[in-house]
Amino acid sequence: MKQNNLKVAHIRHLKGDYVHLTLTYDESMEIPKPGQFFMLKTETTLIARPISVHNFFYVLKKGYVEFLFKVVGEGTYDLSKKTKGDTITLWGPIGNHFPVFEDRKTALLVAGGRGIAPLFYLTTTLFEKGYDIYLFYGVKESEELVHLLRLKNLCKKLFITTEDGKKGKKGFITSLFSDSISQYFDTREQPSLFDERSAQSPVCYVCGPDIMIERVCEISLKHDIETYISLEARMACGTGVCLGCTVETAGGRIYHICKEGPIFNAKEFYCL
Amino acid sequence: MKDFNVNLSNLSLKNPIMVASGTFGFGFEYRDFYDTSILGAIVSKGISLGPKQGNYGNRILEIKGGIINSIGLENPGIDGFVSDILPRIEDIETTYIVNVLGSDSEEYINVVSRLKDIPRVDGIEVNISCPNVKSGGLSFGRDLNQTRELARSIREIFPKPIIFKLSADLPYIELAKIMRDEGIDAVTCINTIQSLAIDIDRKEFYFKNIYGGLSGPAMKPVALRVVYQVSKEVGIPVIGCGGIMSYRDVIEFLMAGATAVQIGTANFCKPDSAYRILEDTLLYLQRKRISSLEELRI
Repeated sequence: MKQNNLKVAHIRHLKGDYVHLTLTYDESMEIPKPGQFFMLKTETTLIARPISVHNFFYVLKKGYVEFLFKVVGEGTYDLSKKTKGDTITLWGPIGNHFPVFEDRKTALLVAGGRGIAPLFYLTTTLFEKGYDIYLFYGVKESEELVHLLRLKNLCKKLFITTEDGKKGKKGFITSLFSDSISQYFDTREQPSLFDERSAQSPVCYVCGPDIMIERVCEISLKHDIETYISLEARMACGTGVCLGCTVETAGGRIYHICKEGPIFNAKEFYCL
Repeated sequence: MKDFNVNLSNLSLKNPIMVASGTFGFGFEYRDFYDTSILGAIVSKGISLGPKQGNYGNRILEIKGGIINSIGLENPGIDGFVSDILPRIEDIETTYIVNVLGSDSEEYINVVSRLKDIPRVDGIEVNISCPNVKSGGLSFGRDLNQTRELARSIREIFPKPIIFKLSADLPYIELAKIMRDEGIDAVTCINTIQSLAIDIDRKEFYFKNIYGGLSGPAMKPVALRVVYQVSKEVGIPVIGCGGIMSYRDVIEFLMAGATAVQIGTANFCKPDSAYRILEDTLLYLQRKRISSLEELRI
């Protein structure tokens, strides 16, 4: 892990208070993997903010790292005010990453709201590996939906729910996920959600509000789908020393997001 | 660049910049960012006799100008320290001080007895002032007789430098006098300040243990007060600690009477903070043509 000052190459203000930040990467730093995050220092807050990698790519041999975050407080507000050419102090990449299996070909991704941030990078990575990607993407208000066109191109099927009902299906993504999975596994009716190839041991990846993650895991684990979740917690350092970023498993075990996380195997985490 | 050697009774440091317990892990964690051997001393995360899992629930809250933490002294215990940590710190070429925890005198003494024969351990810092635990911690330091007994017992068994870490929530003048009289080498002033935070949406205390410890710039004036009073009234070397974010804060503590300082929360804010603060402090001393830190004292 390294501390560095990276230049803002591009910053885009999206609807729903979302900010899409592109930084020119430094070749001396480790290439981030999907699920990992960085600590981004702000000018106005004392401690940095942990923000997951939204994408990483090269253009003309130059690396770029992207972050997608919602302005929710002072730290993210401060970051949203950066302009092209400004520098941001950050350190990372931090934590473990979503496991990507060479011998699997189907992935079910479930994103709630801001949860799309790390799952987008996972989507591009899985796409390059030739995966069939089924993305379930739910938001409160339809204007929060990001990158719909690109996601449509990357995914074999894209399921959208909005609570305001202005796009996709009205309601919660957990319900649509539950219905789609049950429909397939319980009845195996055709034409189904997955084609024959896809039906072979899919892997499920989830990121969103805690309650959504829990609900999705209940469903996926019920059907014996290997599931990985991305969790978050407040943290001070991101380097493994403050010991502040803890989450507790159903069994009462304490894990540190920055060291043992942020990605956890759902079966182990929920002790199901 | 000239190093500024400082002496705290029998504890000799190559420069006055230390890193505070609980903010620097065990020292090896920061190797990715800079050569930690340049620091005056590294103070480890507190070590208890057995391993401690730490507190459940929220552990960190940022407030204006500070952080409140309720970690709960999570650590691998003395066995874990010896087997897992020690091999990883052997090659750190600076003074290494182990912070010692206990819920009663017996535990403190047992940990110290285990540390006394480890060559890599150059000294200990005894924490009698943690605000985040139910037994030991602040409640221990409030009992002056008990603390005197503890200082005496530890002095008897531990031949290397001993520091006691005090708190503004304790009778620090009296405690510092006890430490001086019992031959303790120095006192660290101060530990985090006992604090409270409330989540008004849930109508709950933010921390499961109710209290947390405040650190960061918000506590600096309080730390300066304690450093000034102890160094003026007691005559024991003082290590200043509390909200140091820049070399200017270091100079303030030295002017208030500290012989050395500890960088704490700043290590969280940016991993290379202690390195920058040390570099800037040495540049300042050079620029001002200061040959001995004693000259700085008001």
